[in-house]
Amino acid sequence: MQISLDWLKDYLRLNEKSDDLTKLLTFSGIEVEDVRIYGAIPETIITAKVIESVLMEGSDHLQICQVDTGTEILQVVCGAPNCTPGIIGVLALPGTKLGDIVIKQTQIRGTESSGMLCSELELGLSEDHGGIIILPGDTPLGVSFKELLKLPDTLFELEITPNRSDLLGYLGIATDLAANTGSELLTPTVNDVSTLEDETNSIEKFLTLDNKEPQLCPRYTARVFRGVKVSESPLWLRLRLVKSGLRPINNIVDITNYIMLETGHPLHAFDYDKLEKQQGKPYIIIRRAEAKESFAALDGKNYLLSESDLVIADSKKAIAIAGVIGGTNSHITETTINIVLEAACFNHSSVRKTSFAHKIITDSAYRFERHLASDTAEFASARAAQLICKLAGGILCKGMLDDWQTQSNGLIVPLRPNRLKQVIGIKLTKIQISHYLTKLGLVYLGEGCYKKFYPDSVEKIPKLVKDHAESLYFEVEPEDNLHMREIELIEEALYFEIPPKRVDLTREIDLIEEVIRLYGMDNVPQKVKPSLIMDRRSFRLKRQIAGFLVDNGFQEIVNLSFTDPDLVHKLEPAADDIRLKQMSLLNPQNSNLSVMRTTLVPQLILNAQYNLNHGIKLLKLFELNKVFLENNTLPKSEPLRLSILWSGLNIENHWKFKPQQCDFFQLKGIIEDLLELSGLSGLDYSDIVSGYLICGESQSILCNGIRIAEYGRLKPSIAAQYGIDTIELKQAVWIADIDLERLITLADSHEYTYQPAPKYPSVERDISFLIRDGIAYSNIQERIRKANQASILHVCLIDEYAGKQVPEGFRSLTFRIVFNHPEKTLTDDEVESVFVSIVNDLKSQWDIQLR
Amino acid sequence: VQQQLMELLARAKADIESCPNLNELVNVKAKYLGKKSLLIQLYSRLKELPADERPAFGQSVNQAREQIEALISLKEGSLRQSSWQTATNNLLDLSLPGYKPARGGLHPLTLVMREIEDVFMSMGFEIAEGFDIEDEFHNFDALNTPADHPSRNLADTFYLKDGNLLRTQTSTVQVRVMENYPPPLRIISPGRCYRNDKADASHSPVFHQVEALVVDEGISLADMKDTLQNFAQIMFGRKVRTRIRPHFFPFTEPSAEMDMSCVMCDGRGCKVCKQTGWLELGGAGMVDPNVFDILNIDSEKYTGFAFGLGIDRIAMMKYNIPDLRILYENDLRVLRQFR
Repeated sequence: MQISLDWLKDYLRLNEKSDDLTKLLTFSGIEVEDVRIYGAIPETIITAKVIESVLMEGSDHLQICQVDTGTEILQVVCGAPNCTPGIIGVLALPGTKLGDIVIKQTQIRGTESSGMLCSELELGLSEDHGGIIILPGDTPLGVSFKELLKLPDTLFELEITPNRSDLLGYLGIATDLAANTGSELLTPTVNDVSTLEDETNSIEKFLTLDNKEPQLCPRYTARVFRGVKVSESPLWLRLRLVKSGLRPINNIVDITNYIMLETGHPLHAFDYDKLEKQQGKPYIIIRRAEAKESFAALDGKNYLLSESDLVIADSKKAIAIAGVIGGTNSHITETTINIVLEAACFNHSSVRKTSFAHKIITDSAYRFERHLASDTAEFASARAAQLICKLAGGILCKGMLDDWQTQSNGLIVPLRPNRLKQVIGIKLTKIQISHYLTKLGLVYLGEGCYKKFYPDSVEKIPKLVKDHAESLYFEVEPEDNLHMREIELIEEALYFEIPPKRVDLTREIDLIEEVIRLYGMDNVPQKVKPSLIMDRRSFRLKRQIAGFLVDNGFQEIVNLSFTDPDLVHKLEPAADDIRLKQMSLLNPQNSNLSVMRTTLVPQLILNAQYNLNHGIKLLKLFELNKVFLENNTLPKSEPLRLSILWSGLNIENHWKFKPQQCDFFQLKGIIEDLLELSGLSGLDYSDIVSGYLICGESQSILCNGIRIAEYGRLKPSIAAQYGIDTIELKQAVWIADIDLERLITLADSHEYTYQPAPKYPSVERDISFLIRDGIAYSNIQERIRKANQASILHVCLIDEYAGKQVPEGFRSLTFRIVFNHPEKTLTDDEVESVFVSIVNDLKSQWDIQLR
Repeated sequence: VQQQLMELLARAKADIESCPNLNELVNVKAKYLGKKSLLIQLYSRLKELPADERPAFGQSVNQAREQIEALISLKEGSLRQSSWQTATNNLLDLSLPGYKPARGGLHPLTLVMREIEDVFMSMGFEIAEGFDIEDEFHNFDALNTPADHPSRNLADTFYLKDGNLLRTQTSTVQVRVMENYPPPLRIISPGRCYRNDKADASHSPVFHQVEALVVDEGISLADMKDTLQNFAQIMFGRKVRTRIRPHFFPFTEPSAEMDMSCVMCDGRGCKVCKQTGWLELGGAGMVDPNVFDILNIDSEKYTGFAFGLGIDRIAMMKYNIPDLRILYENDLRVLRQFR
């Protein structure tokens, strides 16, 4: 629902608490979906009177007008059909900026024109471009149009939740805001309606009501107006409708819509003279439609109704689908003189069924299907009567026909302060509670007790009883006395009468919700339960990494934390290596278990040796665990390490896909992928590795200069120390050792960021270069990648070759380059020119030739 | 010309019919309907004809083209059909093994540890981690263990030469958490523990434990029983029952030991449960007010419970492993069963 701030202020004297209306509305449960400024028009648009107009020579519509701005007479050329002498219009003075257009002092077909008379469309106020704006005859001249209309206005797009039928009009929103802010609510009065009535013409003379379906139509009221003048509504009214998203039609229809927006209660007006008369006056009959009854509705469509649809009819024909839409046979037209004004209440589920069955969505159906109260019909009718008399003239017949058979008493609901505390977590005083609820229009009846019998599976609405001391007393009637235990709990309760328009409030819990809405959900203190102990990122990353290794065929190993002190020496570490500083136990069980381990690698090699001895040749092992490093104070340094061992074939034997011995690049790929999944960036490679790895077949990776991983081939001499004879086995042992503790610290949170898929097709080109030994692939790849960042998406190596076709001291590398530009389809020429520039660049940089 | 067209049609028909596969059909199509085909050449001769012969000529060329097109699309349809039909005629021994990228596996201790973590996380617990190397304060003093308590002996606890020790239970983590975070707390701490036990079928100097700790206002033994029962049923199945019996631990009061009905025999009595119908899960109890006092937590306002579970023991029960040492042998022939 769209509302205008200017209009809302008719009903509410906003106070300082209302500054941030958007926040206020949203936090009281009326979500603001959009806020727009309406009618930000310049100051240089003023009111002016056309005092003379002459048709321009040679034109069939352009008029030369003399316009009085109150201070001077200006000549303005105007093409609007409704521009006639005597009207007061809206003049944009030269220099006014309207959107992208600047109004200039100019000549139109040789005639001087000092400004422009504007239409509503030109000022961005509505879609109306039928003519220029015409203001009432008593409008002062030369005043700012913006100020005259109290522009600019702010429009709020509100999401009204389906339970709140009371918020479907300005008054409902104002009531809620008033309760929320303590601002004064300015409800229009309708006391003077009787003074407008024509005593001599009683409505009974003109109309009779016959409600055949009181279940589907709990209330139907009608008023009759005679001799009204149907015309265009005044500007203020039309603009208010536009600002609330409705299209102005004529004054009578506009007034019914206006009052619907004001009160939330839809109205409808019929052309009295089009209704069938019986004994001199029409009957308005509320009945079910006949099967296959045809109805021509105001939306231009014909509907085939059924018996489940409710219609308003005269003695011969249906004149409206009740609460949904009017008909073409009785709607208000320019020739209408006498009207019937309907203010009724229709059953919400019936309206919903009909609206759904015939796919008719109207502002009226939207409101009725949300369950309106019958009570507001009378007020809405009176408000409309006031406006019709004022704006359309005519005589209001005395009285109002009112069929209201199912009038009900106000519902009474108890609220226990203790229960409120139980639900929302804080204790509010009785004064606070009744303060909030009475502001919403509930009537506080007083305190009483609340009896609850156990067991009582359903909390029932208690019945009001008065005891002999005349104090209020409520009780829930047990369903079955026999099974009701003699336990009753008497609690203090506050009793409230619910205003009819709040059909959503029927239970204690509904009242609790209202209290908390006004108290402010934000103000409910949060129970403190910190959940910050756990390092969730590290937890997740550890599991991810282990999962990755498992998926790639590695088996997790778990070794003891203490070990043989000599084991690490077999790795032949340098004398200052931190791994040599092992902490010893005071009371070891034996020397094999006498120190805390400083690395996972030696035990992992022993695990390999154990399994090799048991005939298992394909070994893919890892351990993810703590090591213990010497540190003088507590806590000791207990960093996480990840060690990986791979020996033997790269895959299990298979009849079709033949395995090979695993090698450096396979291990490297695993490590690189593992670092990638951790979200690590800024990696450097180095050839410096621990002494147990073979230089030239091993590598380490640094992140921001810190070494986080090393991997490569275990020296056969060292393998032998652990009892593995790699020569005899004919298989190498590959080891990786990763500082997982550092990796976790350095790892990005690794959140994915969406990148759009390439919009334009890619072009792939393969290219082979002859490269002198000693020039690293990574350098060339990098150089190609950077040759043209905008159009190269991807560069990868697809072949390496050295042999007969290639001269001694050279190798051939074949790159695949994927070209793709984010903004265009690359032409062959463009790809070719990047291609040539790459070839030239590599030639000048390293004297690399194409092969 | 009619003659020429007839011949052309006949040749095309023969070519199309003998066409063996879809690739070949593309060539045939080009030959008869392509830019350089005879048919197109005939079209270009249209101009040379006298005006009155043109319509008839054009019509017959068109007819010929349509016929060839129809034949080709017919053939295309039947070739598409047979292309997969022939595939089924090739004799594939479908019983040959597929190629499985080899999966590795997690160690059974990790499997159990993760499962326990997941169960507790789903119950709203956080995971807190601590240190293996601790001091006497965190391992004993803060846990209300008297200075002369026998568990402090060298025969029970491993000490480092610098005077620190290897934690004998993960309760040390609850001390560290309570030192640093105010209640309410709801944590588990899984990790390694060390006790100077000779390795045998049911003992290992290194073993794994998970400790649960809940501290809040109004926490009672009833909450502990609920948590324990929930845990056991999620972990071992809905049929499992749990019970607690009085016991003694320095840091809980009242203290209890937790049992669950034997998963092997549903509590009827078997070899695994030594005919008792019950398996011991670990120790439990309400946090001793002294522990709260030592850690400056208001022991009047807060109550809490703690219990510890042996992960190794649970792994043995869950996987029917008879000897604890098997878990630390790292024999791939065993570990691979847990892939």
